Amino acid sequence: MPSPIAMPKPGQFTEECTIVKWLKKEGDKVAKGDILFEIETDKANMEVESFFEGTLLKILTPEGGTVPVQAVVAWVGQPGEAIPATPPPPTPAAKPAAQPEVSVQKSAVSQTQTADVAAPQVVIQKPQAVQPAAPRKLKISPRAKVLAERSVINPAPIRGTGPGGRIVEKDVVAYLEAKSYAQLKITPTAKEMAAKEKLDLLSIRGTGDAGKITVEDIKRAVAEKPKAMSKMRQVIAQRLTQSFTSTPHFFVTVSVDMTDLVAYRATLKAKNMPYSVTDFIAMAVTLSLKEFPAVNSSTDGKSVWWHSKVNLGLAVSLESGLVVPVIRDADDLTLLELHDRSATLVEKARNGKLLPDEMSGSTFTMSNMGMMNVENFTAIINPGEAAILAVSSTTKQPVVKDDKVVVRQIMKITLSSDHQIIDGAHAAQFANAIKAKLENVELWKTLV
Amino acid sequence: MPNYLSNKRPDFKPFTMDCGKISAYQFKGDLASELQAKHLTKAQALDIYEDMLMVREVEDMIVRLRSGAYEPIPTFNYRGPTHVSIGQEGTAVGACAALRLMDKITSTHRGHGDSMAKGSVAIRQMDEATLRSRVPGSTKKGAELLEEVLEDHVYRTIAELFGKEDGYCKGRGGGMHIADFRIGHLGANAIVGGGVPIATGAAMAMRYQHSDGVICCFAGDGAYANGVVLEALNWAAQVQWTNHLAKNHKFGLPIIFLVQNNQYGMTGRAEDEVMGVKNLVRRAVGFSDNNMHAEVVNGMDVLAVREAVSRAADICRKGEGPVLLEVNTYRYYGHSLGDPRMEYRTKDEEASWRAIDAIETFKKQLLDAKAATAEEIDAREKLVRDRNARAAVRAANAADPAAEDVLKFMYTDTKVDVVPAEFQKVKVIKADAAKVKRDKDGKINYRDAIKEGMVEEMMRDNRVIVYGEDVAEYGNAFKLTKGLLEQFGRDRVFNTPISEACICGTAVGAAMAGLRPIAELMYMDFALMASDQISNQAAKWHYMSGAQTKVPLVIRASVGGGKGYGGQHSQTLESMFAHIPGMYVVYPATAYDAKGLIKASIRDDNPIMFVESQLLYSEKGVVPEEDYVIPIGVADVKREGKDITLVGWGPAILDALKAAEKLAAEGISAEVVDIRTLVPLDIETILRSVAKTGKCVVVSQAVHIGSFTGEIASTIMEKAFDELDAPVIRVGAKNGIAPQSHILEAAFLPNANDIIAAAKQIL
Repeated sequence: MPSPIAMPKPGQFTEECTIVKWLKKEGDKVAKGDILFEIETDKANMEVESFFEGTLLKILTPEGGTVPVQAVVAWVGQPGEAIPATPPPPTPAAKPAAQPEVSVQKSAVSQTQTADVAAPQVVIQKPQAVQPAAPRKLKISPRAKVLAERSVINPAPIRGTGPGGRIVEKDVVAYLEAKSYAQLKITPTAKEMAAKEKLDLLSIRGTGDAGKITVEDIKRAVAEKPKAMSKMRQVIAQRLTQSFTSTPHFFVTVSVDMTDLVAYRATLKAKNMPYSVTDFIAMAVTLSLKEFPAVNSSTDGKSVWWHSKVNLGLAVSLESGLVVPVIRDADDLTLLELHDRSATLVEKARNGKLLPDEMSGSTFTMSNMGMMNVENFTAIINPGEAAILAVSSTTKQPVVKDDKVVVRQIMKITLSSDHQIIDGAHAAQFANAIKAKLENVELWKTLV
Repeated sequence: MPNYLSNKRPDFKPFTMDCGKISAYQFKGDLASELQAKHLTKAQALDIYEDMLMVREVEDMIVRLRSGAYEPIPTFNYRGPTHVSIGQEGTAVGACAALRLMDKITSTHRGHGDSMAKGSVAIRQMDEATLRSRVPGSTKKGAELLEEVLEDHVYRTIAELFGKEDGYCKGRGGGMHIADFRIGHLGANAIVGGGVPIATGAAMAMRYQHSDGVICCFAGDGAYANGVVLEALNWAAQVQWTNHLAKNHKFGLPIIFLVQNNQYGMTGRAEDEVMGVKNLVRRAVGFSDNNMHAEVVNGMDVLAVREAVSRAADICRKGEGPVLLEVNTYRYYGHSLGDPRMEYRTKDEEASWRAIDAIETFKKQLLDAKAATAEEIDAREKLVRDRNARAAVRAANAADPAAEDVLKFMYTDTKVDVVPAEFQKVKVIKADAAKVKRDKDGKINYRDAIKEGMVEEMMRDNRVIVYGEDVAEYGNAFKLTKGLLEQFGRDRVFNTPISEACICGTAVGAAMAGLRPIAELMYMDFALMASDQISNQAAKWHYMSGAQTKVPLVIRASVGGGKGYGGQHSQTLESMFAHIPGMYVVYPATAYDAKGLIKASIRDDNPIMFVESQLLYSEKGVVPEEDYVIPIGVADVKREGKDITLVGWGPAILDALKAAEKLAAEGISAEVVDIRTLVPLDIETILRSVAKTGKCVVVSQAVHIGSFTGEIASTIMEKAFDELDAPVIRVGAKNGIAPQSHILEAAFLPNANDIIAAAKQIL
């Protein structure tokens, strides 16, 4: 019996993936560990290896095809083996995919699970979790579809009266009549453009003579046309909305005098030592989290659990969105190791090469906009975490020091905290702990 | 003319039957005695030797090609069958040496020898103009021209074996279907026995044409257990060709059934295994009171065969045929080169036959009779070998057919627009005996419309003949041919034995030989009895011969569905024949179409399955008395409409029209398209209608599964998907067997209500 190759579930929140490229073709020999295909997830591209040995008998999902995770995309077996007509039945008790994911994921137990599920080589014998079907295809006869296309309208709102509710020609005709389509005026060029752009003429207001739809109207409509968000963007949207609407945020800002540290860093740099300001902040945050374990915790609203290790997420901005590579066990690292890990992860993130387990499991996140010339900003807590630190630009400012106005390099940091588990005083203490570390150059001399 | 009435009275007087004597191996001559008797000249004797060598050389070449011992050009790969007849040269050459240039033959899958011998013998009989026509552009004369034509013959034979465009059949036929219609070679046949009714039909045509030719029908011992061959023996021996019914044209069919008994039907042994007679010649006794002048001939003695076939041909030319000869010979190799032979015969047996090899024996006789010197014989042998080697290299180098021509020669686009003067002369026995009377509205029924069409075409072209079971005095089972016999006489309208395979097979041969037969099958169900002759012969010969021959015949078959005749008399089978490329399939639904289409079918040069429905025979319509034809392959919009298309053929069209009428009462406007011919299909008219209506129901009386309705539905889907507002629905008979019970048959067949229900599914 051939073995099914399933679409892996590379991330907790991944519902479907697209096959970007097949590296094996039907009939090719496949060894365990051979890379079968490359997928694009909501987070990045990744390669999928085979768990089986044999011959790639059949590819079910071609390049460019998008299928729910855990769907069978190919079969590996011995040449000549019959391929089952339907994939093995899904396991009924699968976890509903749309379950709110904030609550449990950060416990030690759930992390293990996450790692398992997210492993890239997931080739599941019995695919689980029937994913919710894609939005139902509009039921419309070819002829009615052609009429709608020719009329340059969107047939979706039309009520179908054919068998099984299929939209048939007469439904389109009736719809056009009801919408006084015949009275609609449009220039031929505009109509051509609208057809090409698949616009709905009935939704376009004409600004020409007597309401005639002109090329300008079409251009405007094209510009306003909804464009699909990338999968990554959609996940970001979903997660941040959920976090921001379900977590009571409050914000504490402190100003950090970075003058000494900046000067110290300059001397290190002159010695070809690679530390960035971010490295110092990351270290300061890690050290502070060890002092304030409540900030390094998770809650489900009923219980709270502290994480014994610091997995530090670093928000990285990409053209296509935002990713958060995770420095695992940051509390075990030296500054140099922290620097190296951070540099590697950021580089991978920029190249879209992050593996799923490099993007999951963070216990605290920091978002550094220091390079973006911002005075101050607040960040939205990464779901499942208790707080997030927003790091703004370091700028020269007049400050009062020893009753004198002097110019210092000031950096504002703002901690967004989940008020469910962190109170104001605690947040303030934590923020000041970070500040104290960053302002203490002697500390850094012991760490470098 | 009073029709023939039987006068069979009871007569049970005891008697014993004398089946007569059949002689075997009576030829006592040899080359010396034959020369002395001036039965042939020394030159002819050497030619016979040369022709036997020619055959063997070609077949030896096949053996060497297949065994890798020979490559005409480097890396040449011979693909194709290897049914060599080595050992049988005496039979092939001996028989053909007794034939005239325009005498005909049919042959078999083991027919290289027959084909080459017929060709070379005919070529040697050609005048210079005919020779030159075979090698256009040649400037050679006399002996050189003859030699060039002989080499061309070898070349075209080998080129056909190699599947080349220059082959006799342009690479479409190959060795098993090789033919050269210019010299009366009507084709080798790869269906065992398949060529025998064709030869019989050709003989029938030669009788009708008062030709003085004969046809020699080669078939092996294996074929003489095959049904259609036994049908053909009976057919050829019918007394109506020679008794009082034939009036002043008493003439037996000029056919020699030459049984090439090489002892093995593939591997089955005639003599002691798969047949019940020691000598196959006994077959003749069963079919003719004169035993078909049968005798047994030594096929290893080329002169004995020549002498026997000469006498047989003489008998035939006198109108006393048919003749059956059992010619015993031996196949040295196996059925094909993949057959090691040792499962069923011994090396000793083979050696005993090789010891009397026809070529070696004759060579000795040439020397003994001083007909040729050893040097002359050597020179001939060299000539044959060199000629063959040149031809083989040329054939191997010759152009392959172009891949895009894969369907070239499937059909001919010719038809008889003008009847040549020689065929316009029609003898009418009793004028207007078959005339159809119109009612006061100028209407006639479907049955009479077909008859009127046939009568008009028979008056127009004397090559048109009509035959089938009970079509003569009785006027066919449905009185459709009533009056034809009286009007045209028995030469053109005659009853046949109940031999459906032979009815269709003889029509193929008659068509090849120049007639335009209309063969009738009383019920379409019986077409299955004749399916080889319809599907493998009629449909295929235009293509397989590389368009050397046309097969202008019409097989009229009537469908009996709807009258409670049960499973074997009620089937609508046209979809099966539409699946056989090479045939046209026509099925008119109205009297007007029936006349126009039968006339078009008779004039068309393609083989046509013309389907009629007995349910429609009484349907009346206005049918013009004058000449008109309806082009084949043009559909007809029987009713215009805009909401839904009902497309179909045959009696289902009447149901569709009824359905359209009822739908109209509900305000639904249905268009009815009658395709009229399934092949070729006028898909454009269907698509135009579907483009208008967007909805389509395809209807026929055929059972659902495998029906041509599926072909139409899928073609609409492929070509007009965007025009469709709903899925195409098919209506046909249930997937079952036509029952006798009226209640069951009504449930079985589709009707107007079924069509309405189908239409409403998608309206």
